[in-house]
Amino acid sequence: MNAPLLRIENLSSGYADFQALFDVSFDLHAGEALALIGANGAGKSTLLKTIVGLLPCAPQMLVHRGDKIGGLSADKIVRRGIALVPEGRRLFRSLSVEENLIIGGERGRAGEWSLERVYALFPILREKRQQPSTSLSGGQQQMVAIGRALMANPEIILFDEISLGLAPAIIKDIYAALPSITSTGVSAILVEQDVTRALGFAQSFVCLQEGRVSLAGKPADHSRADIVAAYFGSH
Amino acid sequence: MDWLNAIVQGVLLGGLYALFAAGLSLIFGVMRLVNIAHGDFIVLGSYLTLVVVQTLGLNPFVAALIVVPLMALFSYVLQRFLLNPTLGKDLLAPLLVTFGLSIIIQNGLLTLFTADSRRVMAGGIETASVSIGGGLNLGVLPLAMFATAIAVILGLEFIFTRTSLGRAFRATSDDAEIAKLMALDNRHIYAMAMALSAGIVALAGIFLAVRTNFDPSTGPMRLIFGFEAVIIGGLGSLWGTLAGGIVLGVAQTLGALIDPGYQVLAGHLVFFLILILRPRGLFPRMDG
Amino acid sequence: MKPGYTIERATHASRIAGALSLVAIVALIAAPWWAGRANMRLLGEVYAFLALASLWNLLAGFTGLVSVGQQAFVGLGGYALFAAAIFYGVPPLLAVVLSGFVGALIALPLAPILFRLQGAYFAIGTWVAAEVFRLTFAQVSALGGGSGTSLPARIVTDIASTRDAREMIVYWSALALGLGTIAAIYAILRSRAGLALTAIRDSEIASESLGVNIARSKLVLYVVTAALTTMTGALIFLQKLRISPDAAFSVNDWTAYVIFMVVIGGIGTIEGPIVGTLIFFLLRETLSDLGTIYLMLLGAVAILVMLKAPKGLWGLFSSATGITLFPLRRRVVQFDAK
Repeated sequence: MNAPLLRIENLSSGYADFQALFDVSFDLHAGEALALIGANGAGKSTLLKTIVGLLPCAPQMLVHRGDKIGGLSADKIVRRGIALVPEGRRLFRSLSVEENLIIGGERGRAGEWSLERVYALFPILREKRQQPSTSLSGGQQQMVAIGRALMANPEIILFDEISLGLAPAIIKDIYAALPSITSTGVSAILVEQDVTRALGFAQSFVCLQEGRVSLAGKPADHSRADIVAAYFGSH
Repeated sequence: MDWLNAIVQGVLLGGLYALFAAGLSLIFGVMRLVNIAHGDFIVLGSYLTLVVVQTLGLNPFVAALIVVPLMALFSYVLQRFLLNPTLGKDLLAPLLVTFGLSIIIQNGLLTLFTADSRRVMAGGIETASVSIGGGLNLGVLPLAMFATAIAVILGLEFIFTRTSLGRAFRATSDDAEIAKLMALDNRHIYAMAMALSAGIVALAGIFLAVRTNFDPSTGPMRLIFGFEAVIIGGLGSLWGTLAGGIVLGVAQTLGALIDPGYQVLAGHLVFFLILILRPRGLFPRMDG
Repeated sequence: MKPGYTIERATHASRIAGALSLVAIVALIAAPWWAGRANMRLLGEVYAFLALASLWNLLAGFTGLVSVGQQAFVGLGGYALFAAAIFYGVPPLLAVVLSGFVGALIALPLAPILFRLQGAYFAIGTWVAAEVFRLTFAQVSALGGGSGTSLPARIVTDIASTRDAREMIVYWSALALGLGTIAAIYAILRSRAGLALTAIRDSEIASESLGVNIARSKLVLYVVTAALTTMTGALIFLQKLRISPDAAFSVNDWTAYVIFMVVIGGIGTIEGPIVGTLIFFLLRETLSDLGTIYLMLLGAVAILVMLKAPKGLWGLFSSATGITLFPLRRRVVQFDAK
C-alpha cells in the first residue's frame, strides 16, 4: 500500500474547556473519498476544523505528505492544498458571487480550477456572478461555497454538512457534481447526516462516537447493523 | 455675507475632519477596533512633518513622501505586535491598550518637543487664496484639504471594491475565521488596514501642521472631531464621513461667528442633536 | 452519614481580612492625631481616588460600560459645590451631598443618548459630553469663566472656624465617602440586581433571555455611578478650594489615572481598584519627579498588564492563593450531616 496522503494519528482536540476528540486515527489516500459519519456531537466538525488549522493540535497528530502539519495556522494549511467547505456555507456577505470565488483562489495553489471551470460545473453561478452572495438561494450559496474551496486547487477537500437545510432536489444536484470533482484526483472527506448518501459516495468510511473512532473500513465490509451500532452506540 | 462665508469655510474645514474620520472608520470597519490614540497619531504625523521639514529643508507636501510611509510602517508594526493580541477578546483590551498608547505618545512628544506650540511653514500656500466673486475668498490650503479628502475617499473606495487587498479587508471583516481558510493571514490584513489608516492619518497630520499651531496635547481633540464626523455621517459609510465632516465643520464656523468660545461647543451640540434625532447618522450603512 | 451541602459566601480569608480592615479603619479615623498636615492631605486624595476607581470599575468591570468621560461628573460636582455655596449660601458639606442629586439629574437624560453608541464609541461619546460641560462652564463668567475661581473665605470658615478643625472635618468626610462608596458597591453587587449585572457582563443575550432587564440595569447603574462620582468631585474641590474648567474636567486627572488604577489592580473585582489606587500613589510619591517619563511608564505598565495579566495584580494574587476579601460568588460547601 502507498503511503497515505493524510495520516491522522492519535489526534485529540477540542475547545478551551472541552475535549471533543480522543485518539482519533485513520488514513486518507490519494484520490480516495472518505465519509466521516456519526451522531450529532460526535466530533465530526471538530475534526475537520482541526485538520484545516482552525483548532490547535500537536504537530505529529496530522501528517500530510510526510510532513507534520498539526497546529500550523489555517492559511499555511490551505496553501498546502487542504480546503474546507464549512458547515452553514458561510459566504462573505459583502462580496459578490464572483468575488467569493476569486478570493478562494487568489492565494491558493496553481492548478486547473478557475472561474470558468466552476461556472461550467455550476452554470447558474455564471448568471448570478455579479450579485451579492446573500441574494442567492441556499443551494446556490452551497455551490458558491464549494466553488470557493475548489478555486484554491486543493488536493484534499473537506465537505462539512453540504446538504444541511437544502431541499432534496437541490441536494441531488449538488451530489451529482461531486464525482466530477473527485474524478480529477482530488481526495475528499465528507461529513454528512444522511449516512446512506454518504456511504454511497465514498469508498471508505470512519464512524465517530463521542469523539472516538467506533468503526472504520469499506462500506461493503460491514453490515448495516454494525454501522448503526457504531453510529448510535451499542446500549 | 459673513454667514455665507462661514458656511463655505466650514465646508472646506469638513475636508480636514473627513481625513480625521476616514482612518478611524476604516479600521473600525475592518476589525471593529476604535483607536483612542487616533488623534495622537495625527499629531505624531504633524511632528514627524516638522522634523522632516526642518532637517531636510523640504516643502511639507514633499515631506509627505517620507512621512506617509514612515507612519504606515510604524502603525503596521504596532498593529502586529501590540494591537493584534488584544483583538477578539472583549472591548476592554483594545480600548485600554490604545488609551495607554495615547498617553505614551503625548508624553513622549512632550519629552522630545516640550509643550510649546509649533507650526510648519509651507512657503506661502497657507495664506494664499482665490477669489470666487461676491467678496468670497477661498484659501488654497482649505481647498487642497478638501480635494485631498475627496481623493482619499475615492482611493479607499477603489481599494475596497477593486483590489485584492480590499476583498481581503471585506472578507476578514465579514468572517475572520473563514477568511483564514482563503489563506489570508488576518494578522497581516489587520496590520495592512492599520497602515492604510495611518497613511491617511499622516496626510491629516501634514495639513494640521501647516494649517494651525499644534502641541502634544492637541491629539484627543482631533480624535473627537474625527469621531463626531463618523457618527454624524453614519458608521461604515465612507462618503458619510465626508458629509459628517462638513456638518461638523459648518457647525463650528457658524458657532465661531456667534462667539469664538462657541466654535467647538457648537460642533459638539450638533453631534448630540444628530445622535438624538438620527442615531444611525445621516448615511447609515444598509446592511447594518 | 450522608453529606449535605450549604451555600456560603464568606471565606476564611475574608473573615481575617474583615478583622484587619476594622483595625486599619480605626487607625485611619484617628489619623488627625498621628499624621501631619501633608499626609492627611495625601490620604484625603487617596480616599477620593479610591472612590473614583471603585466607581469606574463598577461601570466598566461589571456592566461593560467603558467610560472615558467620568471627568464630566467630577467637574460637575466641583462646580455644583462652588455654585451652591457662592450663589445660594449652601453650607459646603451639605452642598457635597446635594451635588449627588445634581449628578443623577444630569445623568438621567444623558444616559439614553450616550447608550445609542456601542462599545468604544460609547467611551468617546462620554468624553464629548465631558467636553461640552467643560466648554459650557468656561462660558459662565460668574464662576470665573475659563480661568476659574476660588471658594470665598467666608464660605471656607463656614465649615469650621479654625484651619485644623476644618481639615479634620474634610478629612473625615473624604474617608467616609471613600469607605461608603466601596461599601455601597459591595452591597449593590451582592444584591439581586448585582447578580443581574454580572450576568450582563458575562453574556448580554443570555441574561436578556433569562429576563434580566439590561437597559434598565445599565441605566440605574450609570446614574448611581454618576451621582457618587459627582459627590466625590465636590469633595475633591472642597479640598482644593479652587476650581477651573480645565482642572475640573481633566481627562488625565479624573479618568486616565483612574483607569490605570483599575487596570493595574484588577478590573471586575472589588479589591482590584483598592490595590491599584495604593500602587498608583506609591508610584506617584516615588517616581513623579521623572515627569513625562513617569507618565509614559504608567501608560506602558497599563498596556503590559492588559496584555499579559488582564485580571491585574489582584487577579494574579487571587488566582495563585485563592484568597478573596470581598467574596461575591456563592460557594457550595459540603458538610457531613449526622
